[in-house]
Amino acid sequence: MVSSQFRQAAFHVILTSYLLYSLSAQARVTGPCVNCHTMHNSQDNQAITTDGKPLAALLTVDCIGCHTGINTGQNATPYVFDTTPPLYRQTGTEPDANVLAGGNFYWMANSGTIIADRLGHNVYGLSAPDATLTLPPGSNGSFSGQLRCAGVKGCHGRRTENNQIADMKGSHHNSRENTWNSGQTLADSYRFLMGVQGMGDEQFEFHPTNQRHNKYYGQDRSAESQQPAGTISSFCASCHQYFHNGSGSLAPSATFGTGVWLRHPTDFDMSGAASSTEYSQYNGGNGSSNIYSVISPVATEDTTSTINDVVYAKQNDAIVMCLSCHRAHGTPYPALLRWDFKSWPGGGVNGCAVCHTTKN
Amino acid sequence: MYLPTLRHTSRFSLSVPFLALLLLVLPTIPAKAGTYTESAHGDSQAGVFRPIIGNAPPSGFGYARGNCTHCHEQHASISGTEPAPVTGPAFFTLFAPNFDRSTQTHPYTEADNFCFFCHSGNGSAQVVHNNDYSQNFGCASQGPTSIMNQMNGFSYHNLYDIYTMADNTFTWFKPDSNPCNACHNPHLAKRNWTAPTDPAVSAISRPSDHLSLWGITAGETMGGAYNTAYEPPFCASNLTNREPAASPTADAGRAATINSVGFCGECHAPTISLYSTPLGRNLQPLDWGGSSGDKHGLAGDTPGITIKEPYSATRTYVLACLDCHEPHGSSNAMLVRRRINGQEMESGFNDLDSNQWGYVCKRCHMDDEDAVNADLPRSSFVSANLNSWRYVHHFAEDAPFGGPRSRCSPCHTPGPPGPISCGTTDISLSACHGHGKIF
Repeated sequence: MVSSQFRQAAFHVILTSYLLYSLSAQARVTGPCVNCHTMHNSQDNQAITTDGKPLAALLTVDCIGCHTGINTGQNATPYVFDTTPPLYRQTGTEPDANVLAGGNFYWMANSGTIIADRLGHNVYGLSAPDATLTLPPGSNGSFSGQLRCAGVKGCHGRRTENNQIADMKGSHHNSRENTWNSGQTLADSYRFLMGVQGMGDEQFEFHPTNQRHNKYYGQDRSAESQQPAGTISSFCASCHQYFHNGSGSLAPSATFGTGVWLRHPTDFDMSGAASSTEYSQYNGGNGSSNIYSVISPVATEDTTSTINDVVYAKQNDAIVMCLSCHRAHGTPYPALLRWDFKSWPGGGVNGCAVCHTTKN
Repeated sequence: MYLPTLRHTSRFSLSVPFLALLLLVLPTIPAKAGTYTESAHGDSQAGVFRPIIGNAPPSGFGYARGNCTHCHEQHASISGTEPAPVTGPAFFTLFAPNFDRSTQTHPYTEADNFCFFCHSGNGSAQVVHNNDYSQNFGCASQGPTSIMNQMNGFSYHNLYDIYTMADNTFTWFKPDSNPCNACHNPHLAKRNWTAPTDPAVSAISRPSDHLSLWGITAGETMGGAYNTAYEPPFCASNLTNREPAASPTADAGRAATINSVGFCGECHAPTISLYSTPLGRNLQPLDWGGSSGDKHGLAGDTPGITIKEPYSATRTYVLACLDCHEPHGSSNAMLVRRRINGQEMESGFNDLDSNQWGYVCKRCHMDDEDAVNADLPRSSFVSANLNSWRYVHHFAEDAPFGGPRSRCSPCHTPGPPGPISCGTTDISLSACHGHGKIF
């Protein structure tokens, strides 16, 4: 009897270890070429692509086609769009949620209302252009037109090609998760965001924990006009300039960090904030090795491949970033927020309080 | 749009141990202490609500009452534009500038102070009514209905002077901070008027301890700090109950009265010079704790028979600042309350160099009218005149200036020959009495 229980327990330990190892192995595209490519856009004398026109790189589907689905934790392809309502719950990190780090475009794409426009980036192919905004919020006017997944109007890829697929050349076959991306090449850029450093979780933060999550790169700036290379917040600022480093109405450089803010800071380490000491209590900690929060994550200057499971453990590892509050693709909540801030305090969730610990 | 074909197949199935492991590492939201949500501003039922933020779309953005966004615009805009009032980015991500330092005296307008967008009685962001201390805690009838209106009274706590003092003294106070925050933490302050006999429902934070409410512990009440040395004044006009807010007994009143001495004394201390822009001079330093300090402080008044109830002639007392003064402003000089010790002031006053001060004193001390009406010994020597103080000075058993005419000076000019007759030129009460004076 004892022996049987022991064998059963040992089996579970081994199985669990195997599963975790398998998950962390690799995420670059693998498998038969035919999974993604078609030589002649023809099968049984029928076109493979939906509209019958061949796609670049002999692909059978475009970005949206490949990245549409329901995340289960088993899919190696990250699904960022679902045709059925994803399970987001309160923060997208709950045990039965099925969204990834970037959230999901579903809520933005499936309502067709002005309100829905606030629930995600209005990406071409998923929705019409934003009915209200003609420019990205915080924009300096340098970006116009509708956002795409990649290309000169996109986020992913080199952002130099009009053709999205061509713009992504060399990325999927050479990506590296669970190791630090230096941003030197597209394949070595965090989530194929050209130039962005970071380390992607191989499960794309499906059910993240403080020990398994994306590791975001940030820098502790000394002036709001700075646009440090490679940070995720600088990348967002390529369209949303005034929210990060735009030339309009900046906090005075002389008091940056020691004074008060005109806008919520990004690329700024909370330990340097002179306006309050509340940030040392981040995520319920005491200012020393606080547990990393996957609800309100922070970036770090640490460029090693070691996961930052704690905060306030290294210099500049508590850096506020755009993704501390927002998800890149979409959420059920306005402004692509990670949690239902708008309904708080009567309902919703105050994820702000993870950092603003005296404001809960 | 191309619909997907699922290309990547499952590599394994979920297992019980895997789920168990997930459950062990679930992300959690830190437990809520609820300090902001328990505050007046963060109250989900009665907290801040700027219509353009809180109204349902399309007229607003649908944010819940009490939400941070009613005051803070995290990106100086919402959905690409700045909601009204359109003032551009403001420090602390507020929707309007915090404080206009060029406004150094009242009258104040809404644009002078961020708080006045609501606390002006008819605020453009939210209409908030705030009665004065005399009404909320002292049983007075309806008075001014907003903080700004109170500060636009005859005397007021000058915001620029508060700003200057706080900026020079308290490290947490920034050059762009709001002077109201010197006494209030907007993320903690409670709606104290809803529970005026519960000092823990406090609206104030000491400037040296900005992250805590004042009034929470026993030592932060007058009863806790001074025990029976503090006698809560009457509240209702029939003199049957006490401050604050008609507390049923003296013990209940002193336990419920916030320790304004400990609070105000952070700035109004004997060692601190406070410049008053409206007065054009430094304020009189207050010494409420020293044995040689103010008579209404621990140094103690001179026991005497001319005291009124609830005070006793046989002992000394420590008064609370708010027994006599409003915290924000008043129709009287020096922020003196319009109602003290269970009765309205018989007359207002706005001349610091006149005997109008006597109307304040009369709320607890007997003037000639009171002495005659009480038929005190030797009160027949004086007439029952309102705000006349011959009896207490010259005829009471403990009168300090009884005796021959030679003692007329220095209070009066020498008078014509005759018994107990001095000149008629009276000096101001404030020449002898007041903070820092020893009489």
